[in-house]
Amino acid sequence: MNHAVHISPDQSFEQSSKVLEVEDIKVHYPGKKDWLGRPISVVRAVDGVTFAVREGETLGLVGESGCGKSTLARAIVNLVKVTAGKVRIDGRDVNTLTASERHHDRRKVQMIFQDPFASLNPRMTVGKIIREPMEIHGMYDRTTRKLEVMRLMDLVGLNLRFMNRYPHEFSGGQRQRVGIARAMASQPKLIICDEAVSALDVSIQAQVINLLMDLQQKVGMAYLFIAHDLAVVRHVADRVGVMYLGRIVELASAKNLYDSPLHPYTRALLSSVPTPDPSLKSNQQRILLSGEVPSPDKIYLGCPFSDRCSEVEPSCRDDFPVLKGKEHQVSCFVHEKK
Amino acid sequence: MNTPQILQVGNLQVGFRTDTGYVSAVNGISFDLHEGETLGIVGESGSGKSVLNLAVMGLIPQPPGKVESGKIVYRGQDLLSLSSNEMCRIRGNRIAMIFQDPMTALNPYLTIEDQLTEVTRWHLGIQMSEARNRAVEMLERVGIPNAPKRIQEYPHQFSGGMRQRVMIAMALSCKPDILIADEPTTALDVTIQAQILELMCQLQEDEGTAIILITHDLGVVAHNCHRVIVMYAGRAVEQAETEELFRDPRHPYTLGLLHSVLNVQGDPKARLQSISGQPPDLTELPPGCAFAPRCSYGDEECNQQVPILNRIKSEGTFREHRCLKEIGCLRDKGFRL
Repeated sequence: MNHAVHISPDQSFEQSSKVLEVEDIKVHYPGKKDWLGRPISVVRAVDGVTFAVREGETLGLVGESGCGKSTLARAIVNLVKVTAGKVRIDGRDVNTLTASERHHDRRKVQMIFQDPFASLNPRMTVGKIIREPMEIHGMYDRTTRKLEVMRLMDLVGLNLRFMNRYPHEFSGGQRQRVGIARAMASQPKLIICDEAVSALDVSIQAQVINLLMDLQQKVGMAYLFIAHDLAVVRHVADRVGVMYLGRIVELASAKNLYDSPLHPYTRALLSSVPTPDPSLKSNQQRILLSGEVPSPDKIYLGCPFSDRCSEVEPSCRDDFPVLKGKEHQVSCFVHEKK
Repeated sequence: MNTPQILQVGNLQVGFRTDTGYVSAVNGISFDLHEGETLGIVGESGSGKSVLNLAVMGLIPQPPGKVESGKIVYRGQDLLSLSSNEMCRIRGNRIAMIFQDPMTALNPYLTIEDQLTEVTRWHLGIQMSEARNRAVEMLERVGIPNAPKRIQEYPHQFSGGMRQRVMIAMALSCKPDILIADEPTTALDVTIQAQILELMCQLQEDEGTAIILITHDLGVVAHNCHRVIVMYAGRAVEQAETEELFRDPRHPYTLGLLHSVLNVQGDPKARLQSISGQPPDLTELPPGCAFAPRCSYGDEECNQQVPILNRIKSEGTFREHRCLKEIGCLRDKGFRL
């Protein structure tokens, strides 16, 4: 892959083409069942999400546990069935493709998982793990594959003599490097990082984040970066979406979202993160949210956040807010009125 | 802190015999804890912070573990010399603990009522009816709505944040002098974490409990602790007042940690200064400073001898760090790892 895309921090991605488009995607699971085993409620894990990721861009997705971020990632790579909506990879709708076309398109989207202990096959050597995607997609001949594995290991900072070792011989950070090399093996256009650095210690986390950003500079693939850590997402992402109960409630450039958050939920989330600076202790105003994320099988007539919102108005409970705006999208009635 | 000292740990050594060799998990740690103080202990996984606190609670599994030497003095009483019966009277009563994972720390077979009343009946010898009233009162204090009804429920009927509140209620129901919180918010979301930390601060103000807060999150430390101990490979590499530590770190590892942490208010897109390399294998610790192989200041001398603890006193307080190089304020010199 030679088409390295060099992007300055301020340059927008509007010119580059869309690698991934997600249109009103929904993933519903059957919820509680009655005594005959018939479902009587529906868990709306993902409920109408629309966004696009452009070439070379990093889109961050943040939200608390249970907001549907991981389900969304799994739906994009077809690991869970999509109830409704469209997923377009490189402009082609995944659902209309034949099996072989879909198989071919899978090359373009790869995933890095949270747990580096569970996501690598313990019975394969590191070399085999990294080689496998190339074998599955019939890329290169035998010798080139081996060279490619060596190139990838070098790229992610793994010593080449580790090639014949097994995952259990590595530490968490090194395993995550193996996971990254495997994801890059099929030369994807988009890598989905599902909490890829959350299980690592801070010093190792910093190493892996630096690596991910360097690789993007060199190779130019896009990231869909899913995490619950707001500071990490701010660091890596160009644009950030905030999810709450299966929906995106705010979507904007990282700068706008962190400097001037519009949705009350985003503001509360940001104020809850303790900054590692004791001198800011007194002047950081915390918005303490009351209660917890409600169960996703609850049906709302109005805004799903209205129960916990500090700026709620009676009219918020009447109608369903939709994501509005161009550059800085937000779904909040109170903000609309302003 | 100018309040009386309540716990004193002196030169504590804890080791484990494992299949791969002898692991020295805590390697000579000393600290004092004062009434009403919050002491933070930070470090990466495997640095010995949890083992240190299990030793204080007398919960080190023996064998394979063993408290090799040192003393743990609580109110003039060496906890290491107590019999297991005597320790039982202190544990959960005077020194209580909150664990990281509230799901595995609560008994799934018993109702919240059974678990909460067990503590007070055992330690305070009160009747069931009184214990129940106290339990309901405690649950209300930690912010569980509809406590008289919810006390009949089982742990699985509570969410993660609510379970952690139950754990706090249980730990505080005998009004302990010391509360040890081992990563109390790591398993929780940020908004819930903020609620729980706020609650712990509130309860500390009301009761004057001393808290030992074990965490790997420097943000949590910055906002909640008076003093901080930074641990690396079983040793305390630095101890200082929180503000001092963040403003003027004296140990290269502390500085590295501070640089590795991402800040929601810091400069985005700046390259992170990570610490290179991996934490050492505890079964084969280097003879000298354990951080030397990863430290850009490290030289031959560092690899040979274990640095002694430098203690600097100033205005009724003190700070300690364990580094051979007298590097002074690392931040002022623009020190980079």
